[in-house]
Amino acid sequence: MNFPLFTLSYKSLLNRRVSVFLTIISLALSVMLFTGVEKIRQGARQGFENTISGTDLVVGARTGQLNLLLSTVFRIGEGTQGISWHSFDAFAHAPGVAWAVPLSLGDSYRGYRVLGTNEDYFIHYKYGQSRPLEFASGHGFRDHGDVVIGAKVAKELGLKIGQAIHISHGLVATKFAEHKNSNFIISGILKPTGTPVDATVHVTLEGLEMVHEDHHGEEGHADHDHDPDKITAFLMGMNSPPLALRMQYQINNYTPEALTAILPGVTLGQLWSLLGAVEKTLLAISAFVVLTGLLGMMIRIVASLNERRREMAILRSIGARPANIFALLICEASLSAILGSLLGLALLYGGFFLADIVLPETSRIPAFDAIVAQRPGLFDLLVVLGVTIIAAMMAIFPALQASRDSLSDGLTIRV
Amino acid sequence: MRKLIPLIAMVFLFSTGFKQVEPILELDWEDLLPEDEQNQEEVVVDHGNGDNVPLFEDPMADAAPSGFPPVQYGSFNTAEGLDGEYVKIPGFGMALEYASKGEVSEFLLVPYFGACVHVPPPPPNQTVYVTGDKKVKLKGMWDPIWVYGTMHVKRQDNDLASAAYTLELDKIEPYE
Repeated sequence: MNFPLFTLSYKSLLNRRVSVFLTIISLALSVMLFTGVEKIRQGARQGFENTISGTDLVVGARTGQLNLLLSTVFRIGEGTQGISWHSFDAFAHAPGVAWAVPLSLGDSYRGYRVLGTNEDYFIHYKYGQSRPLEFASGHGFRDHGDVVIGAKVAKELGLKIGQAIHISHGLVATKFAEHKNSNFIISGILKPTGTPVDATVHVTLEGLEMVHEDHHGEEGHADHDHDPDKITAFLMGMNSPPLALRMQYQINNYTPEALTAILPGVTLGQLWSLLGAVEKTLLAISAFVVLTGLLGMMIRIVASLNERRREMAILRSIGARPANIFALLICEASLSAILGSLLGLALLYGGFFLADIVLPETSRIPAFDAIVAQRPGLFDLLVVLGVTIIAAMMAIFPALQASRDSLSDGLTIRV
Repeated sequence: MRKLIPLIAMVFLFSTGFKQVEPILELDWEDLLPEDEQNQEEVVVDHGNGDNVPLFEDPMADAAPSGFPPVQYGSFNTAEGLDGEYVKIPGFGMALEYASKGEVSEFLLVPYFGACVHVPPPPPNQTVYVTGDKKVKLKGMWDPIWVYGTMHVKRQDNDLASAAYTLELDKIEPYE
């Protein structure tokens, strides 16, 4: 007999649409959770790894290696304290050093971080795989009062070249802490990079000094050609990467000031090994959630077996073999698993899409963009396949039961 | 006739298999030292001829008579006859540059981990700069690895411009 397996299982599922729908929803949610954990992990890694490239050493005041990396490069948290300009100067001119760029953090403009630096930053800071920063319009610093803003700052705040802005001292977005007198003019807007640079307002170190002097009620816009006393950190490039190890040791053992130097790649590795256990735990938990969802589906099938005995008997009477009954149940389970996992993936990527639209720029975590930019890939295909195969295997037991029952049951069922 | 096919396939496999068995030069970190520096770990090496100079003088070094830089073995001098050889060498990888998906395109291979804080970094002829087109996943920093690749040696003393040993990466394997 030609057994219409797919039509029959489809119609059978449709016939029990409420319970099947609930099963599919619970599967979808669990698949969404599982895939989401993995995608967020991958996206976060990618986002972090893309943020710094071509920098051999990051140097700041004595602190933890992770803290230094997170606060200076990813703008998460604050630096412990400043380092003297003298130390920066000494290392910037040391042999073997190709370039050094000072960084001064701690101020904000309407919720966006302000980074005090110099023109070298736009030349030497690289992201992705050695990609330099590019200007969408305008130019870098030509005057102490010049400001270069990241792509998101420009977009969200609607700022244009030539516009004057006031920059405040400290991370306050409200009006009252702003410095009425510090007048900066936007000279350049950077192209989007997908890194924290996009949400950064770059000013000159001299300009930042003006903000702080205003804060202390001192003189206004006098000549500010002197170097700042303190900076937060600096980035360094060596003539050859192996020199970084020796320079790191020298900086860490520098006697005039307690400094910490890190190799960004190595510290990122430490971050991953630290987070690795957490990631694995989350992934394991969400895997169990998927398993629970599948078990729920199996329970539904087992529970429905009794009420479907008559249906099976009718199928048998019109020529279905026990093997057909077996196949029907397996097929129903696989079908709901496929639908459930596909729906889960749709929910996940739909959620990423929505989050990208809804969440305001300033409340995003650093790797957010890399996370929501995640697209379905091999992993998602494997998840769908895996869930379907496990579902089919779980359905073997109730399917065997049904085909065995259908052998003994006649058309009149004695329940 | 059909039975012959697997036979032929096997013969073919074996013959190509034999062809691939080239002896891979397995290096020890001591092999990277020139002959006169080998077996000297016990000896305090301070030639005073430009070896082990710090990159620059610490202005406060006088205040710390315990010595800066710390004494270490090794130097800028490289060993003979390794240039252009395909080698395998064990060590610890320190990531320098990330490509995509957690893969590393450049790293430093050092003979001991903890080239970090409490011990001086390995000298130039005990550090291998691994680079090239291939990208690999470095699992944990504390797991030693075998690195395969073609060795390039720069024979310059007191060289601040490039690495003494550069390895063009082929593949890595966990070290057991």
